[in-house]
Amino acid sequence: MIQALANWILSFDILAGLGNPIAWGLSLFVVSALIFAFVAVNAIVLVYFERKVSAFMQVRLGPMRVGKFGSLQTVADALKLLQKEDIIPRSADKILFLIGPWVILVASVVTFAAIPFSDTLLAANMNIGLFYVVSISSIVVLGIVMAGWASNNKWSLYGAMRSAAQIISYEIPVGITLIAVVAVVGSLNLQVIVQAQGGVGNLFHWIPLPLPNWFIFHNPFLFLAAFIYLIGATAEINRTPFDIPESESELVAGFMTEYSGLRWALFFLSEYANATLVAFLVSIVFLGGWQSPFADYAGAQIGFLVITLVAVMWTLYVKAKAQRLSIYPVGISLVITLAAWLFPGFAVWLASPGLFWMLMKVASIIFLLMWFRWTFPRLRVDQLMYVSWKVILPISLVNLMGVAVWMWLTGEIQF
Amino acid sequence: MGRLHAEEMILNMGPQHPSTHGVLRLKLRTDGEIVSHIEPVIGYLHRSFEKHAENLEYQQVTPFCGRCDYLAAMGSEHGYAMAVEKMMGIELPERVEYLRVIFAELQRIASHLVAVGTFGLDVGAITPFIYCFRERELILDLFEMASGARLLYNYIWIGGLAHDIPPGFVEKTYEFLDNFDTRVAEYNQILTGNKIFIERAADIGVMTPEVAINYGVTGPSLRASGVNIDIRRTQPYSIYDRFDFDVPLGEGAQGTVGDSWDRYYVRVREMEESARIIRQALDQLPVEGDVKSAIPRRIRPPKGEIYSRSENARGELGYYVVSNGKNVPLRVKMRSPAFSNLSVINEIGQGWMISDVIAILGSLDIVLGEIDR
Amino acid sequence: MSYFSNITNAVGTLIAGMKVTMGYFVRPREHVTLQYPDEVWPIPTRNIGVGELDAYNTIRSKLTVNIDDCIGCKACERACPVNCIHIDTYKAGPDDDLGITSNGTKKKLLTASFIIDMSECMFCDLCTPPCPEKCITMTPDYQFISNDNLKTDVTPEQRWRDKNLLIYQFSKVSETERQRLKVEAETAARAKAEMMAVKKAAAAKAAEEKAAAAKVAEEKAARAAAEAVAVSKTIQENTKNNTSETLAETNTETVLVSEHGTSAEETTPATDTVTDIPLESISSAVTPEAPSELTADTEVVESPVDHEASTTKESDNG
Repeated sequence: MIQALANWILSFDILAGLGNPIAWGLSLFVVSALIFAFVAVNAIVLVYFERKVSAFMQVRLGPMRVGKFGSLQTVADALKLLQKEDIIPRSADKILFLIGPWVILVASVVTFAAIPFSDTLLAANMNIGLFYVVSISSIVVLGIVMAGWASNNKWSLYGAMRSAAQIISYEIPVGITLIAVVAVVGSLNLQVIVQAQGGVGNLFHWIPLPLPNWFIFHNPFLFLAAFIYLIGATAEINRTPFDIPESESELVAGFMTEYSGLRWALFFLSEYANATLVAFLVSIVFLGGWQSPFADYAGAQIGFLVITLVAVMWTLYVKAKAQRLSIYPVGISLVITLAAWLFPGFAVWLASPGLFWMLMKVASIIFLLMWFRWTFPRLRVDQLMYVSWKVILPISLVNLMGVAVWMWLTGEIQF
Repeated sequence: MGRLHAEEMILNMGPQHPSTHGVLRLKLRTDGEIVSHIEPVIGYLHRSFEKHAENLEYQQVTPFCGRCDYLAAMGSEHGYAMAVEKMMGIELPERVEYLRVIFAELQRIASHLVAVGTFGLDVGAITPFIYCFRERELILDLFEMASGARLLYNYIWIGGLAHDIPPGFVEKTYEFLDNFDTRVAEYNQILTGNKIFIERAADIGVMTPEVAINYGVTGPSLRASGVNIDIRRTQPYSIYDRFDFDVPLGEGAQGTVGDSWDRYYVRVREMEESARIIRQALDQLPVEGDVKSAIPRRIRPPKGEIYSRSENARGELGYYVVSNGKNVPLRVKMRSPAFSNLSVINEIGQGWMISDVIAILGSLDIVLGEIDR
Repeated sequence: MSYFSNITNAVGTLIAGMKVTMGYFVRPREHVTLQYPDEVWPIPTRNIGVGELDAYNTIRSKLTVNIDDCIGCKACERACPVNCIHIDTYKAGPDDDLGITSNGTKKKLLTASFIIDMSECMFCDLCTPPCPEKCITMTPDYQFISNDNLKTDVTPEQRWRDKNLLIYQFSKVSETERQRLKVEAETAARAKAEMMAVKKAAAAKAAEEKAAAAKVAEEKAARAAAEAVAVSKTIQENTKNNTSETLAETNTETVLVSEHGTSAEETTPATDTVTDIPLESISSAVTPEAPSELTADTEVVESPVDHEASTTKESDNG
């Protein structure tokens, strides 16, 4: 994208005189500004989303007063945070205290450079994209330890230490599950990984159930790996049930206890950037990234018809058991199905790959993360380690072996 | 390179801390995450209830009783009213007794809902807390209907009630009880059976019956240790001997008898039992009767002293009232259950992690207003 | 094997919990939030049979006085556990007609000042039952921090901070009139006290001569009585166990008991409390002020406004 942008800048006669390096620099600046804007806007939208999801799950309404349905509430909150005083405790380690949040933010923003938003929308097409994302995102722990230590507060210290132990422990199973996918594709390039998941095929190659060629449906081991990755990633981004570094009922606010104003907002920004990053990785690696779930125009029509039929039958089943259920999900799928059958252009659009599908998948994953957060209690720190080292790590190792054996049995790789 | 110096760290938990249920301060001596000693520091919510009582007329003390245990104000008022009535030898009308039981048990449900919800909150589950508060609001609606207040009622007066219940109250209570069972099932689904919750609560902070009795622990926390003492059953006061209800005991279903999970689950089951009592009381409630007929014109108990016990939501609530024959009590001492329940925390919380100490504290269900008084 | 059953159990129970939250997520109709200023909670209303006020004691919030019905008996002031009601009354002159209440009771006292300090009120509702005229009520007006409240030129922030804005004066007597009444009552009390002092001094002189022989024995008896009172005092008043104070009290007690005290001590209490002259000190003969508990005690005994009595009276009327 940077190359394309540079070429585009050079194509203007007035700007051509600038020369190649300057055009490159300019386009780099534009792209990084775009990514940062994406992260910032994304955080604002997601905070609103999270508040609404949590409120609806908790039989509340959530923010309702600023803007229609409270849609501007997070904007107002962001403005309030920017105006607040940036308090630095007297006994804090000032330099570390000041740069800690920035380290976390930078580490979580720069990872987006390698994320393919669509087949063309990609800042840097790296051949080691996956490796880059995983390695850069683990710098976050450095910032957390800096912030926690520099605050000179016992609660912050506890939060930082817990966080360091947790993130490092969960890096390992997460890395191993990603390696399983890399073993199938044979490349670390995220764009290549997405491209390998196009089209529609049978479930696990032999069960006659037409499903997209996503890696989650590629073989049973990768199916399991997707969930293991999701659990590990939840832990890595410190979300419930693994939110022990900032567990508010125990450690007040963990490593963020002493922060206020803008710097506190930066923690929030990076928290949601990380959540988004994880959602992107899950959808790229396991759910086909920007690929459409439908192979073609007819596939989209039939696919949505099946979804609607299932939804209607489920609703009728629940109603027959005299339980309360909303009809909104059925209604929405019915509307989409009708639109797909009545307007062929809509069906074509549904079947074509692009940013829409990418964002839909990301939104679903983020919703899942929120769903976890507003349902589960929190694990204790030693139980967290137990889950990591004694449950997830062995399973992911067995999974890696299983993927290799599966590949050998199905003849996708030969020795 | 010198030897690494390692020592225990003193961690101040509170008085400003999200999980200390008010303004409790715990001085924790920690070795990493492990807590080796817990020292509760209380008194941040001291409002000198007992001194107030020495300067107020008997009836004027009632609102202050509710302010001690603000989550179970009806129970507190009931205990105080019974003490003074016993001194004066007042015979209450049947209807008053039934209504008092109904309100005390509704209050027990409301209080346990807070206990259950905040315990979930302490271990990180936010949503069940909101569900519990939704049901608590319904109970507070009933209280508001009857007394006009939602939290601090001053409804149970010496010798009767402030007002009779309004029309429609009984129907609304039945309606609440009918829905309540499904709500409890919901809590069990989202919290009680949850594997993470069980991991966090089962086997944590085991309180053996000996420890519980030595420290004077009462109420659900004692019964969770398997000790079958419920004043409603062992020394029935009011008209509790007329109702058929079980006393839930800790069984160690998910771990050891007397662990945090048992203390939690005893409360959940007590809510169901309270619902049973309310249902029976509503069925038998006498239609006729003036709730104010036995209210004495002048409250001047004869010279003497009395200790009256009742089973409040948190345990044995005792009032020791000394009268010198005047209209102002000479002394009112309150035996607060939460105070004794809190004192056990060092015994059962030692050697657990910081997170567990919070879970144990949550499972003891303390109210600082009652501890500090 | 338990390792795997543990994992499957964990997954199963976690999914069970997720079902509950998702169930509520897709059923927005069950949400219980109330959009407060737009929607308000339905306030339970009922008539518990007191007067024509249908809304009497629905929910207990702002205290209100119907000052036209107030007879100035101070029953509510005595019933209040936190002393948030302050009433000043003055005896009406012989030719003043203060009117009658809605119950038909003739008003004999002018309520010059009726202050309810809502920042002190704890909404216990103990003040309303003793009122013989049912004129003090707790209204369901829970939003009394509102714009149409008292002064309009204060901001909401000020309203929160300024305690004085929660102090309500119900009496219709103007401020200047109130001052005038106060000064009048003050001078009247002083004149009366002086007159009484002169009278008493004369009486004392006569008595002195008369009972010169029995004086020694009398004094002895008085001291014994004072000691007995002092013992009970120290139990009740262990907050201010100042020795000098107790001594002073014992002195006044001696005066009370012996009835032949010196005149100097008697006049002081009446003149000291000019700001809040009790009703009794004007209407009845000036007697030395006993300690507060004793007055409270006697007042309750003599009180005509016990709520039981008042309800019976009302039923007689109706």
